[in-house]
Amino acid sequence: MNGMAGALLGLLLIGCLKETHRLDADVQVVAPAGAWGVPLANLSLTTDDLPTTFTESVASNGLGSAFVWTSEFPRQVIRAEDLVTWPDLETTALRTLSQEEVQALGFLPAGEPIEVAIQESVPVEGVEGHEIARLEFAGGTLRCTAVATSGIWSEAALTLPQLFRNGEPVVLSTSSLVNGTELDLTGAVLLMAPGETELAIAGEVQVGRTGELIAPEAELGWTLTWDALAIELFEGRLGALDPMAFTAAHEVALPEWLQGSIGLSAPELKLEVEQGQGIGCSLELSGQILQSSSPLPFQWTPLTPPVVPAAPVPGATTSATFLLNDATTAPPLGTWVSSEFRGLSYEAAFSVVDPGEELQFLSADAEIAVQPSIEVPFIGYASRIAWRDTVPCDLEAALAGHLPAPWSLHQINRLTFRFQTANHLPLGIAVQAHFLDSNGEFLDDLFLDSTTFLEPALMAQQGGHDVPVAPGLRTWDLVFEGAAVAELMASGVHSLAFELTGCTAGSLEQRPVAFGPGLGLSLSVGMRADLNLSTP
Amino acid sequence: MKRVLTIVVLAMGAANLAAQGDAVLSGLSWVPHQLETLPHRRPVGTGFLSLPEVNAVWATNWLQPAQWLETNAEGTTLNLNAFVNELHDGNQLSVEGRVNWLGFGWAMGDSKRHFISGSAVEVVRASLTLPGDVLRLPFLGNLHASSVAGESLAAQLDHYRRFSFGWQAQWTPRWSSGVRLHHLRGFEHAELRDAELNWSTDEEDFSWEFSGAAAVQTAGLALLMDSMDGNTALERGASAYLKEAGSPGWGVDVGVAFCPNEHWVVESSFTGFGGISWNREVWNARWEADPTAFDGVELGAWALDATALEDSASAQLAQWTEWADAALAAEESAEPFQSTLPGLWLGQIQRRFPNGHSAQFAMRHSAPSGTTCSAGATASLGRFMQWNSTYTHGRGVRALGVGFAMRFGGLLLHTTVDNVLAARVAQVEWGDARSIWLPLDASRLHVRAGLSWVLGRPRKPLPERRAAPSTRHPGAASIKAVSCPDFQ
Repeated sequence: MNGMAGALLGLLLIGCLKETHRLDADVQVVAPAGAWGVPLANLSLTTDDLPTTFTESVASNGLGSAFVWTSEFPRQVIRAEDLVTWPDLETTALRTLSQEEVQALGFLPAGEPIEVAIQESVPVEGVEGHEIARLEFAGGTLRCTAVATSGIWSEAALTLPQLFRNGEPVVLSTSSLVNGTELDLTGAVLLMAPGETELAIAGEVQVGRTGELIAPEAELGWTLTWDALAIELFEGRLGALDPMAFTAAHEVALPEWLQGSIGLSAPELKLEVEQGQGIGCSLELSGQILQSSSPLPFQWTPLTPPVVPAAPVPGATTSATFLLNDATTAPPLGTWVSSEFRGLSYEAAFSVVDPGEELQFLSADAEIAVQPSIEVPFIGYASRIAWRDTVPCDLEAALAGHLPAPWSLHQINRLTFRFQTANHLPLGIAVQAHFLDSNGEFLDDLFLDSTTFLEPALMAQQGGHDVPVAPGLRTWDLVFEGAAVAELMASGVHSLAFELTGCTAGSLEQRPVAFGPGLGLSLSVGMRADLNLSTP
Repeated sequence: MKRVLTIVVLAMGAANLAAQGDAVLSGLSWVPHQLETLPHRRPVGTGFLSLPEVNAVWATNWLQPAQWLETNAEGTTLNLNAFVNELHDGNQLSVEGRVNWLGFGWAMGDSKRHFISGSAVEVVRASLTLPGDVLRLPFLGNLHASSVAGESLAAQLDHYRRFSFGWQAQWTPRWSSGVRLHHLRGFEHAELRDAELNWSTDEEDFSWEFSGAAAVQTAGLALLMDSMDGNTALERGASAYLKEAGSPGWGVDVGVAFCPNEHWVVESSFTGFGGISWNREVWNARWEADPTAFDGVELGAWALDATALEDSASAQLAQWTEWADAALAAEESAEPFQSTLPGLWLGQIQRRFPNGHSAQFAMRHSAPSGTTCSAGATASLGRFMQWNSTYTHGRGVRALGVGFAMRFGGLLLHTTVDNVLAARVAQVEWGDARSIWLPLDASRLHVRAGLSWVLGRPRKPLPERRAAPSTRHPGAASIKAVSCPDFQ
């Protein structure tokens, strides 16, 4: 019993044991050393950011190898129906009965018909200056309507010796007593001799009296109407045609950093024309270089006549290529296109060339196809390349947000700004970083030497041009310790500004730099803050 | 304020004197509540009626602020190294409150060898696990390791009611067993799980990478929130709210004891296992963020003209906002789900001494707290008082517990505390005479206090004697009788 009481007393005493700690303002803190790493900014410039229409070809333009951007414009197609539209044609034939024929009609006691012959050549209205040698129909209707003056009627079997169907001349049976007759022209062919412009109509006509008084100069007439014509093939000579005009514009969406001050050599617009029509065409071309400020007009002045030759026979094709470059434009495009280059627009028109003695043809299944494309070689000059940007860098706000209360910025032992770069560009780069205050003013006195030079990428010749084989790597720290940290904090740093400037040695014209695929520059900036949260 | 805190701590100390922890409770054979962990044990007397009992648990393996302070002649030092060094990958904090509303039981059958019992218990428990990397981050920064991992982040809240029915039987003088079945009604559940939060920092260029995913399962919270708005049950009072039917569940306890002779008892039990099928006011959500990197503000506004300078942060901010919007877009569902309750395995061996004294050695294992071992001694002061002291050692646990049970006629008062070391406190003072007392060892605290009415009374402790032939099995003359159980 006594033992139990003693044990109970002991436990109560244990419960009374206590320590007393005073957490006054001067309480000491012993804390482990800590370090924060914060990424501040990164930069990634690469030619891989170019639009997907950029090819990877590398060409030489005399100044050096250049990375050529090629983009195809929408294909323009001109078909036969765009050149010539065939209206409804009409042909009218008349036959006046002689006095003897009229008297015979009147004297025949039972009103028997008499037989007369017709042999006419009549013009085809609606052809409008086209000389037809051969016209193959893919559709359409030929309607023949017979008319006769009062007192007589007619029934005729008219032969059109120039119009063939199934290898035979077309014969039209018509009567003035009915509304007329129709013929489907699908598969029909109209053949006309050289110099021939009229349609021949021949045949025998049965003429009878109706009982009414017959006029002294009674007439028989036939109207041939060619409706809804679908022409599969035209051969002959075309009359006057309007020029075949079209316009196009193509904007160049360059990455922002390439729009900086990398110069572009003269763009070259290429029009590749392929045609299967039997007409020769000449090209007229003019255009504008699109700039962000204003367009720059140019006129095309080709050195040789810009003609697309006619296809020799249906089913064959011919082609021609027309170039718009600094040698064919006025003013020439050989001068540098501004860094404001936004693309190119142009107006093109094809006019039919007089074929002389040759026949022309237009085929429904042939076309004139124009494939425009543009090539822009990139050749930059180091001194024209510069980038600049700022990032917010409110050190006090950034660090205070991470520090556990009640510790302050004064417990930063060391502040390290780490710069890491990989330069794949074939030019040296000068990097400058500036601290800015809230007014955007440089706080350059915080850096003794703020310019760092990045070596260009190691280049090697491959395939006739230089390509980078290893980047220029560089890592450097800017360290603030002790009082310098306090000075940095007190200076009111608000943001960081970066300036990168190409610095290839040599004059502009002597050291162009080709920008090919896979080139670029990466830069990262981070900040490390070493903290000592212990207090004395 | 100081007085209030002092009263609180003193009240806690008083509660300690009247409380019991499970380890201590195992040694107080008079207390019928030990059926919770030893369902095979026969309670004292021929029956009991337990009045409401308070049961509170606190456990943590890291949050012990009093241990981070040191005071000497030069003043007080806050030693954060101590805090950082004590952190684990998963830093746990759990609390549990339990009220045994009512318990009862009575002996049945020939020679009273069967015992039927029942109880109703309200349980509220909450746990939080914080990743060590996240707790270390404010002090060590993000460069102390390549990655800040948050996989161990987890949280859980449960509120349920347990209705229990138990049957204990003594089959032979040597063997006894017991089983308890629980019907559970779950009221609220919330769980944060499957957390995958990672923040890695490159030690060379300080660039960051983030990834994250998490899932939440809740049930009944909407009803609770709605109640708090004064719309339904809670507006009518707490009792009306508690009468609401919850989600159904079940549980089971089993145990067995073997007495090879009157000096030794070997016991084993498996208790607390069960599950609840949550089907009321269910809300499940899952977030998954695509990995993203931050290399700093991307420089992009290029111009030779100084007036064209542009703040690039806005673009970066927009990018982050877009990422955050996508990451915070939850995949929601209202499908019922099941939660499990952690079981506890207990193995104990007891040595009995004359005059009602005994010694126990026990081993416990549960998934949340691992394996602990305890050794304790029980002393009886006649039929008036039983006293136990037990030391527990395990993962993050070093606790000395005490408890007692006192009889005043049929009235039995019991109280235990499993960590009297928590009574060692530090007084932390700061300005204007404000202070708080913090326990020096706050890793674990489990207190219980309650009253019961026991029918019958403990047998008067016998002096040391040799075991007599059994009075229950006179025919088994060849069997050497043992005196289990102690109560008639």
